[in-house]
Order: sequence, then structure tokens, then C-alpha cells
Amino acid sequence: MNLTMRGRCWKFGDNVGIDGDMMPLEFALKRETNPAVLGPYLMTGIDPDFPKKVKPGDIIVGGKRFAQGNPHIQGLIGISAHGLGLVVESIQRGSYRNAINAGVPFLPNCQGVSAQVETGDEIEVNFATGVLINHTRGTQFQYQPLAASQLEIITAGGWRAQLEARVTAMRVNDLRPSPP
Amino acid sequence: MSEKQKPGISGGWLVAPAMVWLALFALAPLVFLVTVSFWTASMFGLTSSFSLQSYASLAGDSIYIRVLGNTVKIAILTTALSLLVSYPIALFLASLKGKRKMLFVILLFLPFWTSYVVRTFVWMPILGRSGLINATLMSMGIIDRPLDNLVFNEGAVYLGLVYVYTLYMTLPIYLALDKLDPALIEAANDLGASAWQTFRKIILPLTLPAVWSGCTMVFLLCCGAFVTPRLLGGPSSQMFGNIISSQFLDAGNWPLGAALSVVLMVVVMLSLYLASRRFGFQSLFMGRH
Repeated sequence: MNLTMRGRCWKFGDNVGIDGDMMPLEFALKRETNPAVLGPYLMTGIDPDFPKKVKPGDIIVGGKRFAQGNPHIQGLIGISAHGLGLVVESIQRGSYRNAINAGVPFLPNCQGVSAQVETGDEIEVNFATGVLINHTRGTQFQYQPLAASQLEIITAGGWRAQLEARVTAMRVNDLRPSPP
Repeated sequence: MSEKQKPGISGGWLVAPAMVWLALFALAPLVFLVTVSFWTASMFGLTSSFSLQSYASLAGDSIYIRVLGNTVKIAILTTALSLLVSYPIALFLASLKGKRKMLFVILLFLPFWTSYVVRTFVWMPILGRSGLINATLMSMGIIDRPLDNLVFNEGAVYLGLVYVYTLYMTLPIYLALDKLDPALIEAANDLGASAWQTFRKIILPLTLPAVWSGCTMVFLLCCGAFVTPRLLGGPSSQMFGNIISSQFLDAGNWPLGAALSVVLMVVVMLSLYLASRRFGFQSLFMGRH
């Protein structure tokens, strides 16, 4: 996965909740994790047409306490399903983990970023270095990126994809432990 | 001592099932919990050698004390709010007669026939961004965009806890009010006492043991709550139960989770000991003088 994205900014305010706002609660209760099922419902609690408007490479900009509530992974899988990036002022602890596990490139601690962008701005984010460029306004900001080990999971496409890749590599290299 | 009063072997045997039940389901888990708190955890599992590592890491991080303090604060405030809500409900129920009383008692119990989690979840479609309250306010033209701070904060945790634990406060107060001798209230009225004086000098003192008993129940349940703050709370309104559950379920650090549980138990027992010194053991646990 390319850790640099350039696309439209979709700004959401503070206090975006996982259940209800990012994804209908019923998918968490059903334990649905299929991206194809979850994608069409992303952010429909706030903007019912959001899944139709958004394109791969676009970036969601969240305010404080993004993805709060009971940390269900469904909303983050929805973001991953559309191939979006995520930049937030702060994110709930469980959702931070879920974003990594779902393979969502994100910047978790971008203080004041909501004031620097508007929905529709063309922005570019390098998630490996933490640089955000707002091409519409001609501004640039530096934020703290994730750790290399976390970016490695995201680049692989999430925890499951990374695990599968590791298992495949072990098979290829015949590194499986020999029977006693 | 007469034959009737003499404790026989058969009497001891009658108590045995209860003793076995208590030993198996109360004492044994507690002993196991305390034992595990002195073990250590690694990525390969638990090591059963004696260690104070969990208690040391607990003492070395102030966040545990902060969350514990926040938990006790939430438990005390929830207990007080529950009392404010429950006493008028209990008074109302006790004032009813016949079929109406039965109907309202059933209505009070009705939500409690479903699970605790469902009763907590139900607040999300009410308080959420596209929930009932926001939809109503917007349709009435009071707000033009949904309020996003009705849920996932400490206020929502209080609301959820009061709702799910109210019955434990209402029931003992209602039973005490229901058993109250009407002659006492009539006598107060005959002697010219106002409604407030009758409540303050007759009804309240006679129902105080039930109040303390209800407070004890709600306080105990709130101290261990973790579902409500997890579903309705924000990042800063997490309770001690959430840290304990995350150690057991997410981090796999059972010894630290057990040590945190032991600390919570000690704090709760200490609180109840101090309360029983002030209000009496019988009041707190039996609901009587």
C-alpha cells in the first residue's frame, strides 16, 4: 500500500461515534466484517450519501474523540473498504488499534487540523512522514506519524493480511518447525 | 437445654449444601483471584511463581489511582441520583391500591426482564447523533444540526447507570413504605402535622434502613460496572472495571487484572466498613434497624 494519498478532504467535527455515526450498530451486533457489506454504510449516520460521494485516495479529517464509544472495528473496515486515509485530532484508544488492524493509513494526533482544512479541499498526506499539504490553500503541516511497526501492519493491509503474508512466507521459505 | 433446642447432626447437614455452594462459587474464585494477582504474565502465558510485580506496576502508575478515584466518584453520585429518582417512584407505588398498584409494579419491572446490555444499548438510538432526542429537537426547529455531545461522555454514563440500577434502590424503599403502618401517618395528620413534617419525622426515619440498603446495592454494583461506561462513556469516563476487563480480555495480563480487582475489592470493603460504622451493619445489608 502506498502511504502517500492525495484526494478530497471530508471534514467531520468532534465526537464522531463508532456505532451509529460511522456505521449502523446492527453490523457490530452481527459481527459483520466483510468490507463489501460495510463500505456502502460508511458515515451514513452523519451523511447518508457519503459512500456514493467518496473516492479512493480521499481523506477523512476528524476532530477530537474520533471513533469514540465501544470500539467496534466495523467503521474502520468501512474506511478501509473505500481506500480512504484518516487524519484526526484525537482518536479513542480501541479505535486506534482497530484502525491499524483494519489497515487504515492514519495520523492520530493532529492538534488543530480541523481549522486548517475544509470539506472539498484537495489535500495530500504522507502517512509515513506525517506531512499534510493543503493544495487548495497552499499550506503545509507536520504531524507525528505512527511508529514503523504500526505502519508495517497498515502497509500489509491490516493484521489479517500481514499474518497471512507471514504464514505464506514461512511456507515458501520452509521455515515451519520440523516435527519432533 | 430441651430436645427441641439441641443442635443435631441433621441440622448441620442441612446447612452443608449452602456451605459447599459458598465455598465453590464465592470463596474459591476469590482465593484464585488473589493467588493469580501474585503471579506474572508473559507472552507465553502465566507463571505461577510468587511475585509482587503486578502490585508494583499498579503502584508505579498514577492512572490507576485516578481512574479508581473517578470510579468511586461516579458510584457515589450515581447512588445519590438513584435515590433522588427512586424515592418518589417508591412513594408513588406505595400510595396506589389494588390493580393499579400491580400494573405500575409490573411496569417498573418490565425493562428488567431484558438483559443489562440491551437496556444500556437502548440509550444509543435515543441519545445518538441521529437518535430520538436530536430528531425531535430538529423537527421542532429548536436546533438546526444534531447535538453530538449527548452520548459518549460522563453524563451518559450517569444516565445509563441510574437507569439500570434504579430498581435495586426502588424495590427496598417501596417494600419499606408498603409495610409502613398507616396508623402512624393518620396519627401524625390528626395531631396537625403537615405533609412535609409527616414525611420528615415519620416516613423518612422509618424507611432509612431501606434507603441505606438500596444505596449499598447501587454503590456496589456501580463500583464494578464496565458495560455502561464502555458503551455510553467517552475516553475520559472509563471506570476501574474497564481497566480490569481490558487486562483480562485484551492485554492477557491476568495477574495485573487480578491485582486491580483485589484493590477494588479492598476499597469497596473499606467504604462499606466505614458506612456500616456510621449507619449500622443491619441497615446496610439487611434493610432494617
